Amino acid sequence: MNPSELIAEHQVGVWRYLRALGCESNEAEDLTQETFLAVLKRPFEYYGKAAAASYLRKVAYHRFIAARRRVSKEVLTDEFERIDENWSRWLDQQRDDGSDTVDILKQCLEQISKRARWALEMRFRDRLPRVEIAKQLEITEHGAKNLMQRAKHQLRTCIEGKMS
Amino acid sequence: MRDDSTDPIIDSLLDEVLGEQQPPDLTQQILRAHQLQDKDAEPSTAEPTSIPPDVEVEKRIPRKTRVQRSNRSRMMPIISSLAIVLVAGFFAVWVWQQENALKQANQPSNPGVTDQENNDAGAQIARQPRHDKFAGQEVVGPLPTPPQIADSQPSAVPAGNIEPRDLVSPKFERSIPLGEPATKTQVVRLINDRLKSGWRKAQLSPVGYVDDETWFARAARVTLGRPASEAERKEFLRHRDKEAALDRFLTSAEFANHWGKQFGNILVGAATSNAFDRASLDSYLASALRQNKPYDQLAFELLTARGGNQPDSEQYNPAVNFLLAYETKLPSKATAADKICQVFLGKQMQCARCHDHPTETAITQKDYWQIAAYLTQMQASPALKGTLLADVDFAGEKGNSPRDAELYFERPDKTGDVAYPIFLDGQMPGTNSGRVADINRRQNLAHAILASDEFSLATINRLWRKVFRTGFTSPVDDMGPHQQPSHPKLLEDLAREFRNSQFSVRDALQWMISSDAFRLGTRPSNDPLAMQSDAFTSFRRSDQIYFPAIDRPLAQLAKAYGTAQPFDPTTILGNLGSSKKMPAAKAAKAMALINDRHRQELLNTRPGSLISRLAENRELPNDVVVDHLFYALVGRAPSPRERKHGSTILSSDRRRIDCLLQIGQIILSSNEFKQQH
Repeated sequence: MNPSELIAEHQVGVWRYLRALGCESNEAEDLTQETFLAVLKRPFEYYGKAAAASYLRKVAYHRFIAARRRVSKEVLTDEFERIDENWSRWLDQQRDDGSDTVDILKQCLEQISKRARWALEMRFRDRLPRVEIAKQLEITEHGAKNLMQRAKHQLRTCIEGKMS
Repeated sequence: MRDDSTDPIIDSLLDEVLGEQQPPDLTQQILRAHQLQDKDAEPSTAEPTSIPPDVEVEKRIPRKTRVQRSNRSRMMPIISSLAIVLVAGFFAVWVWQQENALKQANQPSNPGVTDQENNDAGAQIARQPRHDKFAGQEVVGPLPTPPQIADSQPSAVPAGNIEPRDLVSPKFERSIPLGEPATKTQVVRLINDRLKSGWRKAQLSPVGYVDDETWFARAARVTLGRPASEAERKEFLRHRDKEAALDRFLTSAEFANHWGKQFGNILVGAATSNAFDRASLDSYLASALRQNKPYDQLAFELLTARGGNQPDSEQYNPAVNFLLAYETKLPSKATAADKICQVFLGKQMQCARCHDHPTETAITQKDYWQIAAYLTQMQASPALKGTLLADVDFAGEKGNSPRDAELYFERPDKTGDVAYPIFLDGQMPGTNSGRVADINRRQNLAHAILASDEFSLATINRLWRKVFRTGFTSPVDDMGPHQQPSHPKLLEDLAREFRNSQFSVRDALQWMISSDAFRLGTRPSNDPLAMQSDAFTSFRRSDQIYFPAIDRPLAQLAKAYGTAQPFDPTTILGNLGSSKKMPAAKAAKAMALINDRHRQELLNTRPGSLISRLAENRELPNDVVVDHLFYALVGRAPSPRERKHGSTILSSDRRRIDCLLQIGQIILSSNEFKQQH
């Protein structure tokens, strides 16, 4: 497989994986580039889409940890390992770049309450701080936090239910 | 990561769906960067091929940086100036400190001494100023003067960060000249002649030779780790071609697997670390033996290995599992050094860790730490999958002297001393730098080991012990002037021939097994000295194939079947080799072993299977049925007692097929079967 095909097929998966680990969008783009450059430094043997995706995720993970260590010497990797395991488990059941997960999330969003959905939209679409969200919903800030956390939990349960 | 996030995966997906943070298309950008990367790697005479001259290639600037740039633009000149002044100040202080340290190190005790006498003084014992670790004490011992090396940039990789290039193992190149290899006949004659000469001198007389069938059984046990099967025995006896039979054994996958495990036991058998993958190491060793890889190359790969230790690790290299078994977090890597010397030099160097060697007086404590200093660049790091082993820059124990990367150790009198990599014969790498770009210390150690006489002597000693159950020295990994080999000339000759054969383990085993010594008999002799040897007792025992572990439970089963009591197999299985009843948990485990797929396959009762055919055939006498079962499962005839008990069991009024299954399960639960499989 030539480099452009490899990149075209897998860049979205790597980017989504890095975002799942907690990278902001820019950092995810930088690390995606670093991942492919590292992989393409030596001849790449293609053993299939799933194997290539898994390999690229491993390299991306190393890059991610190294980037974190440049900022802070102490990096606890347990949380990241848990995320990686979860993401890999989800990807076993769908297309490898995470597109199916995105589609399933869209379906699950229809199932949560309107109020919870509105809170999430204010947070993720409008980028409002929690204080502002609480004001709009006429609840306390703590209440807004709980509402969004419960909504995310419901979404996760829904996604895992649909996947299984 | 958001500070209020408890689920980063869901957050990232919500960002994409609600926040419209769509995955960008980075294809062109990555391809351009890749082309630039390739261009940098090519020689300067290469023509640029892929980047059109009118395309301006720029490194992607993260958005955050772009936003911040406008805010910082006014402050930048001031901040830059302050930074330059601070850096220059620190550099000046550092240089002043280094110069002071160098002056003190080179200062002679007598101010009137000339330069030449200064250099000579450096080679003698000189008192040196102390370093912080041993404050108030004095370092005693000659400090080698490091040769001048060109100034090089400090390593860009801080210790602890492993780059992909650090995981690429060095390539093996043999650096020692080899002589003309002798033929197999010549080497075997050499062994026979040398041994006979030794016996004559000791006034020993061997009892004669065993027959071909016994020789064949011994050869199978040594090479394959199991008794020869009935079919193999019959095939051999048809032609009695020992050379062909041995060749078949030594080129088989079974030999490679068995000896791979044996080597694995030598390399990591006692290791307690969880950081290594034993299965990967065994598989690598088996593969090396299958290819008849030269042993010096194998040793080099084991000593210099870098990479990941599991099949799904980055830069998977199973050879790393040897040193990973001993990797500790200490800079000294003492336990790894111990094992390297034990395995590859036949020396118990660990005795010299805390004081001069108690028995091999030529080895001092400093020698030990000078060997350990070779491993200071070695570093293991946990990875997502498995563990990575690499060589990274070592900046000395204090962490600030990469060009003079020292290791400190404490003498018995509590004074301190410093160690740099120096091999046992005094050869040095040529620099004390700890930077991998200047010198790969592990590679240097590997070359020194492979070029030493001890390497081939220790290997032959170990192989001899594996074949004959006794080495030229005992123990095999404690060779030296304090322990004379039983046949020193033979050992030296074999070590030389081993080198000349390009360190072929297969050839060395062929010589040993083809020698007269391997077919010596084990009849009791009037010579008490001969009967005391380890080889005599072990060969005698294995020739008789005495395994009480099957006989006893068969006897109990026969006794049980002779009564009306219901049969509980766990009581029988639990008594394999023991008189006490097995605890329930262990019995359950034993039953689980019995029920595993391999064993089930051997004992299946499908029509046409061995068990069903034996059950249906009422014309065969019971003792012949027992013979069939033993030959099929463990490749040998039953002992008279085993045959008797088996026949008793088959004579009971229980169902014949149940009796056969019970006998079969006892055999499959035995250590004899486990050793074969």
